[in-house]
This record gives sequence, structure tokens and C-alpha cells, in this order.
Amino acid sequence: MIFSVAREFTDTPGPRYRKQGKFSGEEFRELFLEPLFKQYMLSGTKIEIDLDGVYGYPTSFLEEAFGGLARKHSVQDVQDAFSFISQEQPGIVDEIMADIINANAQ
Amino acid sequence: MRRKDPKYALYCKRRLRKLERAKKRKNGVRSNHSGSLNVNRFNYDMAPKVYISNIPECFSIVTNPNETIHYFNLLINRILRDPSIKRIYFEFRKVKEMTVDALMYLLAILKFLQCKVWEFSGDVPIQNEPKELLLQSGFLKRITRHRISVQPNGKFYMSMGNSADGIETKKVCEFLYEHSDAQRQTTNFIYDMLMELEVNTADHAYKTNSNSLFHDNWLLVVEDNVDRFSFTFLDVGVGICKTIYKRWHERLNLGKTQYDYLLSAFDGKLLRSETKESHRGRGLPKIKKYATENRIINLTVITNKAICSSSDKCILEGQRIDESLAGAIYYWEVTKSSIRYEKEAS
Repeated sequence: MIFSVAREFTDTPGPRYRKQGKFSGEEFRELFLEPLFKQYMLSGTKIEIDLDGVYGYPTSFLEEAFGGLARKHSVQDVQDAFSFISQEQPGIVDEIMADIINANAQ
Repeated sequence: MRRKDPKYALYCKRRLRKLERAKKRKNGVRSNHSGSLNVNRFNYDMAPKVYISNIPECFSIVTNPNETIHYFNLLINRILRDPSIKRIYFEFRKVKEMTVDALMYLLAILKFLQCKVWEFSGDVPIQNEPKELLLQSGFLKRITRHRISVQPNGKFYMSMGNSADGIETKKVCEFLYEHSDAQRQTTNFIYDMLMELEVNTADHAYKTNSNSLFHDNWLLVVEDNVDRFSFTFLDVGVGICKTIYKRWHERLNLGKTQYDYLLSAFDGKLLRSETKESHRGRGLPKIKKYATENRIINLTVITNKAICSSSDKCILEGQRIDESLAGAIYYWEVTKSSIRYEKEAS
């Protein structure tokens, strides 16, 4: 299953929290990532996230969305549930993976 | 008889006093509790004072920080301490050198200072270059409702807000596409940077105990300079150094200067965010990364009593400034060649 951020959510990702502005990482996690993650837990089908088509990803948006999900559930489960594609910004995939791995790091 | 009634005498006395008060009011003379008189119609002592503000010859926070910040602090103090000042006259005449950052800060004082200045006027610089900047930057358009007879040259893009606004940042990117061969794929990092800086403003905007002089807002000006774009971002909060979480012994101010804290915020090695959450405070290290990768050049950050700029070797170096600047100014450049979009040969 492929999920496109630009098509399904927005092409202008916003800040970390809802209170800081529109299209936040918190909003993205709650509205889309959590249901997708639940879907993965039920069916076991890996979800591919297409990151292309946006103007850019603020660091705090990515951290709150993916790191936040890993903090709530488990790093391993989140890593297993999602894979990422980006032709426009290949480096962003490593960045998200680092956010997931370091989600609980002090 | 009624006239002999003491109640009637009291009534007459009160009535007379009431009529006298009404008469005084009509004539514009009113007595107050302290017994002194205030002239109601026109009081020359209470007439709005005009404060003539002499702008420094080199009006630039980036190139002349000490003098320009001193000027701003003087202006802010004057406005805050003398409430009778309702009109300010800005003398730009003698200005020989001017940069956007100083104009933005002046705009922030006029628009977002907690104490409002109602009227302002001024002249324009005699020298052509600063005059052109003053007229073209969009500064006048933001502070006056009067029509300005200046044909915009389209070299400047000005934006402001108080939250992290992706739609507004998208418009900035579109300005870059109009003025260069850049495309969405090549300006991702600019969008990321701008959003992170906007988030910082939004972060302190919702704090109720903020002791900022200003209503929290951000201002951005992008200037098209032939082969490059110059970005100036102003965050009118309390400033980076004042929001960095300090441990108890650091609060004693032993040895460490404000630029040490600023550099540590850019390094992101320590838990420096005011929020004390380890996963936060990654915006500034990312900006430093872009500077070391040469994606942005000539990065300069000025906040509180610290100035930090990237050298030729892309290393951030700190410096102390004499007076504290409320808020933070970020200046950087991006060359048009570095964001040119080249289609892959199929």
C-alpha cells in the first residue's frame, strides 16, 4: 500500500505541534500515521510512504510525526510498518530513520 | 414653609453645585480630586509630543551592530518611558548605508511593540542606494495606508506572521522560482529552514508569561541580488540566549558568554532547549549543517548580546556585542546557481 503525503495530507508540511500552525507533524501522526499503523498491526501489510511532491519537510515536523509514533509504540514496530520513497530528496529517508531510531534517546 | 425646611435647603445647595459642575464642564474646565484644574478643550502640556529620531549613518544591524542596536534600544526606551510621545519623526536624510535587517527591526518597533506609537513621519535618505532600499523594500507600504507613488521593482519579497505558516512559506519559494531557474526539488532546504525559524517564533508566541517587548511575530524579507538571494529573518521574541535552558551554575554567569550559549544551541550537543525535551531543539543544528554544506552562505545570527557568523571555512564564530538586541536576526544568502533545477537527460 502506498500513501502519498502531498496527495493525501498537504504539500506544505507545517510545524511540530497543532498549536504552532497548520498541517503539523502532530496532526499528521494522529490523522494518518496512527490509523495506518493500526492497519499494519492488523493486516501485516507494510505501508510505503511517498514523500515527494511537497515544498519541503521541516525537521520538527518529521521528528514529531515519525519519532512521536515510535515513542508511543515501539521503534521496531514502526520500522517494520513503514518504508519510505523519495526521489526528490533521497537524504530525507535517512533522516526519518534516524528520527525513529533516536526517538527515545536521552 | 417649604423654604424653611432644612431638607429643601440641602436640596438647593446640591442643585447649585450640580449646575456649577455642568457649567464648568461646558466651558471645558473640570476639577479633579486633587483640587487642580485640567483644561478639557486643549491642554498644551498633554498635546502629543513629536520625538525626532536621528537614524545612524550606517543603519545596519549586520554590519554596524553596536551603533544600530544602541539606536533601537534608545528608541524603544523613549517610546516605553514617555507615553506622551505619540508622534515620531524619523530623520533618514543622513543615512549613507542601510540594510534590510535594520528596516525590519524598525518596522517591528512600529507595528509589534507592546506600547503603540500612533503617528510617524520622516524624510528619505539623500544618497541613492539607501533611498532606493527604503522605497522598494516594502517598508513604507507596511507602515502607512497612504498610497506611495513608487513603482516597485519586484526585487523584494516581504512576509510576516505569528505562527509557522506553510502557505506563506510556499509563496516565498514561488518568489524564488519566478526570479531564478529554481524548482521545488531544489529549494526544499530553504522551506525547511524558514519553517524552523517560524516554529521558534510560534513556540514563544503562545507562552503567556513571555516578557517580550514585542507581540511575538516574525518578519522575512527576500532580496533578489543578481546572482543570489539574500534572506533576512527577524524573530521579535526574547532572543535565543534568553530562551536557552541554563543549569544553576550557568545562571551565575561564570566564564560563559552569550555567544557560547548561541554556539552551543547551533551545535545541538547539549540539552539546550527551554523545553528540556531531548528530541527538540534540532532546528538550529540543521541550519548550521546547511551552512557547513555551503548550501547557504554568509550566515549571520544576531541575538541578545551575541553575534555569530560563518567564516570562509564554514565554521560558525561568535562575537560579543555591547548592547542587547531583543529578538533574533538571521541573515543568509543562497546563490542562484546552487538552486538551479536541471532536468535529467532522458
